[in-house]
Amino acid sequence: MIQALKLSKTYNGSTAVNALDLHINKSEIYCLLGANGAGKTTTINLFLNLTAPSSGIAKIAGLDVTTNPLETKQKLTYIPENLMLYPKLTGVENLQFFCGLSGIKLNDKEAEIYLKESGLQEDARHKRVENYSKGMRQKVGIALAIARSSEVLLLDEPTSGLDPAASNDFANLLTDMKERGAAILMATHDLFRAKETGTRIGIMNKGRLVEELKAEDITHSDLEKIYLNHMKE
Amino acid sequence: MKDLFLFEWRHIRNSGSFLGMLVIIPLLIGFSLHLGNERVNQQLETISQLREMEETFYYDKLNELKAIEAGEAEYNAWWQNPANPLVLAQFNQAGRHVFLEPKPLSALASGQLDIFPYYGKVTLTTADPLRDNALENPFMQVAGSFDFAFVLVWLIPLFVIVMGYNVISSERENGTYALLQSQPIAIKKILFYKLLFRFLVISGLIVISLILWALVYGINVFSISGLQLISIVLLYIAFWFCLCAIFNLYQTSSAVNAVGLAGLWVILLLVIPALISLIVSTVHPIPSRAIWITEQRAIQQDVQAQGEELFDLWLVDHPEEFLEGDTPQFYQSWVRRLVWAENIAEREQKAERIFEEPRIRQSEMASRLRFLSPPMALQTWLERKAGSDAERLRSLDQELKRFQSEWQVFFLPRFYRLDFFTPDEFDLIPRPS
Repeated sequence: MIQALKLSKTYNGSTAVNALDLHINKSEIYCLLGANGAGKTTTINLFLNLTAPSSGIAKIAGLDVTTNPLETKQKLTYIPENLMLYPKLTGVENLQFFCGLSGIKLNDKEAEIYLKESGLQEDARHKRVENYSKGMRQKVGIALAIARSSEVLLLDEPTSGLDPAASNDFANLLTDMKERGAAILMATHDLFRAKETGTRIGIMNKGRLVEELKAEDITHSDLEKIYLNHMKE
Repeated sequence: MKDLFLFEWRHIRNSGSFLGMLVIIPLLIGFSLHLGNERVNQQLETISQLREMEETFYYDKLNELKAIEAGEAEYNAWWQNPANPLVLAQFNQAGRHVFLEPKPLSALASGQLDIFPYYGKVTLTTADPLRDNALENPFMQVAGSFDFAFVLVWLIPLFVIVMGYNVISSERENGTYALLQSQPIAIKKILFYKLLFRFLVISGLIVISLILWALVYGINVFSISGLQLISIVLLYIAFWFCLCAIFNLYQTSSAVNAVGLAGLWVILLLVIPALISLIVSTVHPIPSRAIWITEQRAIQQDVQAQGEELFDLWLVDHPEEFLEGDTPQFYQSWVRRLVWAENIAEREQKAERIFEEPRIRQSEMASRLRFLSPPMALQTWLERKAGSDAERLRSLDQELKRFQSEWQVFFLPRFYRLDFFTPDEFDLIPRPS
């Protein structure tokens, strides 16, 4: 569902992503770990076609993102580290707007159902987003993914800055999305959440995917050791 | 598109600047049309008063003549004789006014009316434009005229800039750009629809306000000229929205966009017109007004000095027009004065060419260059539609001179022959077309 074939990106001579090979299937949460500047965000931007690859191919649902940018975006939902919505609009109105951009028309009731599924409390749904916490905004992002039945979720450090309860809620939502069949790529610094939520874990260092692990095969402390070892390289 | 429009509506209805515009734009348009309408009514009133004065004068003279012929009245001096062509063509309130009547869309632009008069009076010796008191109003001199043309050309672009300068840049600054970029729709398309909606809202507000206020003040905007006006208004608003779109396409901040667009406003409305004015007056300089006044005085002194000589020359050329023998004193003196006046007018007309020719060339050059500034081109267009452009107002001079010729052709031969009027002939006195 999410595929990188020898994907590379170079900025002014420095390599941000180096010959990345990645294959993420349906119903899979792939957690991409790495220090700042390891190439995680660039990888996600390459899948979003926000930046063009220097070489290699990025594919979503079998389609090259550079030649089919709108078709591939139709299949995915992107949640950045700090999901910003239109502050003067309510959660319902924001959801309706972003769904409208994908050609999905939601009435108020339908929008409320999706927001409920994402765990956004009832009394907040018709309030302006300017009063929302980060966790509440992330939930609107998940509601968007549910409403659009997205096959792919690209998440860039979505839990950073969330309190443990909100982070746990978010992880549960991701698991729910996985069970619905979504392929999820999540860049994160949170080793604990990666181990708990992820199906597979990839470690990036200096643009390279240096390690790939199955979450079920390792313990939290093993993951930490492996990660720190790679960071010393 | 519908969803984007709905979203934009939800977005701008919460914006204070838009709510302000909802009130300010109709008020500005209403106030400008009110002032324009007042100005036109004042012109119409002036025209009506002067026409009435003219009619009363000739009506009174006709009644005086009838009374004299019936032996019910008499006159004591030659200038009181209502049958005398000179009395009917030259003295006191005699003469006809030539007017440039307001056009149907005159209320829209006062144009050059504060500089050029819209009427003048013709007698045998004068064909001078006259003024209302507008020029003497000191506040008018300081503030200029507040008309619809000013609102449209100068102020509306500022509202458009407020509505359009940050359509995409604000998305970047508010952090929503990343999410927008991940949507299955091109950013340029979003920009287009957002600006299109804002364009429709602003132009709808302006056009509806214009139509409603025009209906209040009895200005016919449903004519061909009115429809042309509405089309031009829409084009002008679209022009400024296009500039906003160009700025939004570049990845600049809202502050840079605002400053850039305000800079363009200054360039298009102030700098380019000033440059055009500078270029035109440098390439085709007009001699100083002082030279013209000196020239006029010189002509008058020259004619005065040559007095009898000029009259003799005229006699040689027009022997049949002068009555020899026992003629009244006023006849002798007034034939001379008319000959001298004609001579002065001819010489002044020749001398005026020195000033008129560069002015025409200036006007032609400015006319070609003004397309460098679409706002100036629009201002000129509006003035033409309102009939307050310099070209039309300057045509008053020609119209006055043309009618003076007609006036002289009618009256002078009768005066030279001392062919006095009968009551039946009053209807033959010429009127401006």
